[in-house]
Amino acid sequence: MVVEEHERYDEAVDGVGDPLTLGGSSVTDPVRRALARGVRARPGLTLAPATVFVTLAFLIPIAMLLWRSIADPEFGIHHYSDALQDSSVIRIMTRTFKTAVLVMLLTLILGYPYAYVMTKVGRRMRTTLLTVLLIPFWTSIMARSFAWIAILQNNGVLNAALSAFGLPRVQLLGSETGVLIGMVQVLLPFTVLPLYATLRTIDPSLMNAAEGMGARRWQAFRIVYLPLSVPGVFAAGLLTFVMSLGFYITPDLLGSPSNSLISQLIATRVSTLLDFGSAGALAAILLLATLLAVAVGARLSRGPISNATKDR
Amino acid sequence: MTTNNSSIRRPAVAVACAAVAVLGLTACGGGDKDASDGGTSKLTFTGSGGVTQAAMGVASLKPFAKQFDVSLTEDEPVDIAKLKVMVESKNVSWDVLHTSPFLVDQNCGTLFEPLDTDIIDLSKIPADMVSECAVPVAMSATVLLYDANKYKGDNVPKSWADFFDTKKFPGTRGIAKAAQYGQIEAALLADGVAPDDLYPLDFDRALKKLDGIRDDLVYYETGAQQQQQIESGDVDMLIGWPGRVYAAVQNGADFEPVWEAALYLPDVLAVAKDAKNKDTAMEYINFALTDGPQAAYADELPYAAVNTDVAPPSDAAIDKFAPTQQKIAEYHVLGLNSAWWSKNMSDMTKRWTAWVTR
Repeated sequence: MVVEEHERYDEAVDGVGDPLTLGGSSVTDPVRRALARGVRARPGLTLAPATVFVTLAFLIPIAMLLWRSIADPEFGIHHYSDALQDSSVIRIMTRTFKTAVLVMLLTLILGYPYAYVMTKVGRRMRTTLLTVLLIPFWTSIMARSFAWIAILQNNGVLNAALSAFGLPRVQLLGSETGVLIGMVQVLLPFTVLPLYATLRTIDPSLMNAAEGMGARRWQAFRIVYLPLSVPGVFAAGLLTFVMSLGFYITPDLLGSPSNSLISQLIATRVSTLLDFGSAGALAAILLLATLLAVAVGARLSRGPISNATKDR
Repeated sequence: MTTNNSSIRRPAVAVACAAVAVLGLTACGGGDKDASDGGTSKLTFTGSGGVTQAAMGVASLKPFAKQFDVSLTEDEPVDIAKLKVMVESKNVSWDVLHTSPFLVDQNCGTLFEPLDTDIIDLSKIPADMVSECAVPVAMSATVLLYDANKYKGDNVPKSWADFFDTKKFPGTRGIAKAAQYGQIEAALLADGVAPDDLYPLDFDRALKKLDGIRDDLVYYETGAQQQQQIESGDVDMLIGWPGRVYAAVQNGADFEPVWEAALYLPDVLAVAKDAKNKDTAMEYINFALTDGPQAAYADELPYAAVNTDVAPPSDAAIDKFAPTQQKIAEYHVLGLNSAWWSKNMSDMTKRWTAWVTR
């Protein structure tokens, strides 16, 4: 099931590139076939660079972090028991998951129609929509967070606009709403791209068929289109959710301490207290909770996906 | 002037020794003080960037490099966690750090080298500000500052008690996100604790006092953020750093400092443990404490000199925001006890986090 989902994702992501002609059109067919043969013949070799990279850049640091969480300063699980007995750790962890769920829902609500429209418009318009989506994506996350400060602050752009229309000022900088606005904006491309990848594979004639058989437009969408898009919704939602869990810069700059997320707590442990052990334990707890959430998400998605595939 | 001369010679010896060492020659115990030419020693200075680092460059770094033929590298920001990793991996690329004293005192001997008092002349530096690993280089402070456009005439905040009085002085209040920048002390002083009884801090009493203004609080993490919050009108008064508020005032903000019972805290220089250029680092620190560089730094920014021979800055706008020795005496400015904080940082930070993230 998972493999199939990945294949469809890859295939669709290739498609994402095509409006911008990112495909390798200069590579001739024989070359491509030879390359493909090589890939098939020695999968181990082709995987080697990525494996080495992932090991060096990800697995070793993770292992060191986990090691420190049980061995720094002395051997034992005291960092874990301390963390799980600390009510502020529990509170911030809960807040982190709540924020991630909210961001996921908001990005899906905003991203779904956007991705849908991208599948309906012509090539030129699609390129425009993609560019509009990707320009902020190519801008540094710091620059975007500072831009949001300029917009949300007390005498910022937003409040200037509100008072120009005679509306009351709002204090968004340092609030949960401010954090959500910033995170949703940063994560929107990560939601729209996988969604678009799935939506573009849905055969538009299915909707016509449903309407031909007497379904109203909304009914056809609800009964035919929506279930077929569920795998994309889950893929996009899961990606956004997991990325939200590790957010640091945006909540730090746009929120107040009462909106702080677990990354900020980990950062304080590292930079103010130089307590790498307890920071490692917090990171390990976050990792475990994330894996659990992903497992639950995958479990939940199985039903709708297989139904949708069967229906096809 | 004679002390200056002898301090000039010492790096020259170090420079010569370094040059000899580089050439693979042995023995450098000789007293050939004229061998100052040829060869270059190195120094990596790490500060907090921005205006303070630029001022350090003008006041002491560049003159030191030029005078003693030292090849200077600058880095930013100071990140003690990064230093810890450097020390653990035995690859320390920083020599001198310009920072606040908390983590230096806490990690003296493990992440920082004890000061070499044979090289560093401390005779003009107040003894109570010097610790084993950290020497003050400039006076910073944590002060009540208020928006003079909002609070006018007789109705202006005059004490810490006024900072906590939201009935008399409605408006937003800026404080630090971290525990150790004065809000605990300010709350206790406002609650009637005598300055002499401040430490050990009664944390619960302070948090109770802070509960009263919780809904009006706006938090900053850095000096730059204080400046942004002042200029954007997000804070009406703050427990802030006068050096940064001065910068906001230069940009057109109208903020006034209240010096009565403010808290001073020196910025310090410290040498990284196992620094590659330890001796040059000590020489630099000695140089930065001499009259010339001290006066030059205090003239650039409202961080007052620590050298007791240096007169207050001539520029009145800078002097207004500078915690000079004169102000400390006149307004009963207290020392923020960084040694106490260093000992209790872990516990206090956890208790503060529990309160502030609620």
